[in-house]
Amino acid sequence: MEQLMNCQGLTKRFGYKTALDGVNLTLERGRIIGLLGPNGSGKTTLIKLLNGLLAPTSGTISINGSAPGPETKKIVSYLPERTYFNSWMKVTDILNFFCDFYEDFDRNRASDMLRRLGIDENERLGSMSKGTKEKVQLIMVMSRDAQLYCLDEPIGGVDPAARDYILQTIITNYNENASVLISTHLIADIENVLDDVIFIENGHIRLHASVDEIREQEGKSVDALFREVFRC
Amino acid sequence: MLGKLIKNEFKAVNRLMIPLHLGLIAVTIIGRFYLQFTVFNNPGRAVVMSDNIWFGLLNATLIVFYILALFAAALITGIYLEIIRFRKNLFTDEGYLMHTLPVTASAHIWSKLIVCLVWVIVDVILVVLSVFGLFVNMDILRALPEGLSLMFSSFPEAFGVSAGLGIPLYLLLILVDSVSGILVIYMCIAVGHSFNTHKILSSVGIYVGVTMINSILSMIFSAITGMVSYTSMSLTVAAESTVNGPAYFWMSWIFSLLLSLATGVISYLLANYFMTKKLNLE
Repeated sequence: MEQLMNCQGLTKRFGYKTALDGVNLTLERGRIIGLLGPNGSGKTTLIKLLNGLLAPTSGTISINGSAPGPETKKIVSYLPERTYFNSWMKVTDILNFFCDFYEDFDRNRASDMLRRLGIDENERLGSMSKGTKEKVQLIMVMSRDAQLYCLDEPIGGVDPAARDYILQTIITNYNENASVLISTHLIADIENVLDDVIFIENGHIRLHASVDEIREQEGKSVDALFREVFRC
Repeated sequence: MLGKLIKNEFKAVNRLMIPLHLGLIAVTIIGRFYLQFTVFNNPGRAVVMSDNIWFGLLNATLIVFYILALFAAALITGIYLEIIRFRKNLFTDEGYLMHTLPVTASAHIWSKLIVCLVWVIVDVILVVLSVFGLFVNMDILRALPEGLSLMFSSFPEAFGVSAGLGIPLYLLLILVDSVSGILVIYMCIAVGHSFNTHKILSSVGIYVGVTMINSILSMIFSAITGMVSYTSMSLTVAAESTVNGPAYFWMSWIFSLLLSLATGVISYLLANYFMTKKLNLE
């Protein structure tokens, strides 16, 4: 299968602290990949490196053949673990903003999802709850026809009903050329939608396997395996 | 993409800049009416100059308030556009959105710079117009031609070249110096925020360092040529120098321009490099 993302010897240090240590990783197209690991294992660092928000200390990243930059940002859709919109913006302002900058943004798809989740396009972000803001942000990110979706803790703050809907949109939205990289602690919730899992610990990749392999070889669910591998 | 960035940048900063400057205009108009009725329409200055201490206090308070409003408009414009907006939009949470747009770092810098410069120029013009609009009456207007011609005729004596040449050249220098000053701040923020900790402290430290280097260069130039230098970043002016004349005007002008240009270009290149290769969002 064709490579979508490849990193070689990827290392990121913050002062004396090593967040990622010589990571070699390849992501293929058409997969939903869970990036799983305990707090501080390097999940967010890896995703930020893929999006060019951090510069690697050493090593290389290649997304669709290019290092992170304007070209890769056209095809990578990123949901950070924090809210990045101004509170004075209305939902329509954000829709306009995404239409302006992302050629692959599908405004109708976004409007449909907003309507489905009962979010008013004329509402200001400042008057929304944290969970609603997260929904808006996720809708924006998933309304792009990107090739790589990087979702950092996408379902942490939303209620279980919306969680199901969001996971459903993630599955239905992406195509065989695209992959979705989801980092989360809520493994049981997303286990059923995952094709592959990556276990990451202390900046090292512990395991990169398909969910089917894990079930066949280990005879247990990803959630159970995670608890076993990362037992405290 | 630059056009879209500029459009969205205007949309964001206009929310503060338009009310701020409408406020300035309102203060000017109210002040003008007040002066018109109390001072200009009372040739004898009966109301204002009366011995009533309360009128005196009131007028003094109003003038202080007006001067503060002028300073506030200029300071808020400068600090918000040159420092806060650049840092907040590109190096805090909002940076997660801005830096994942398919846009180069240089486009970010240019969009911020252009919008900032437009508003700073509008601000300067409005502040000048406000002072003008508040105090100018027929007496001043009648005296204006004579005053201006005096200013123009004494210009060569002070600066060594004619006013028609000197004023546009100084305006150009001030413009280049302003752009360069903004780019220095951008560079300091971009470099400072590439560190893992003490990002703001580092930014300030770098700014102090750059300002000192610039001042030292200006001082060396002044020491060599014997000119008095007024340095705001790198502006050296031959005024009140013991060595006047066209040659000195050109020497100081070219020195200042080159120093400003060099500072600006180096700052731009560094800001661009650090935003492209050393981005380190928390």
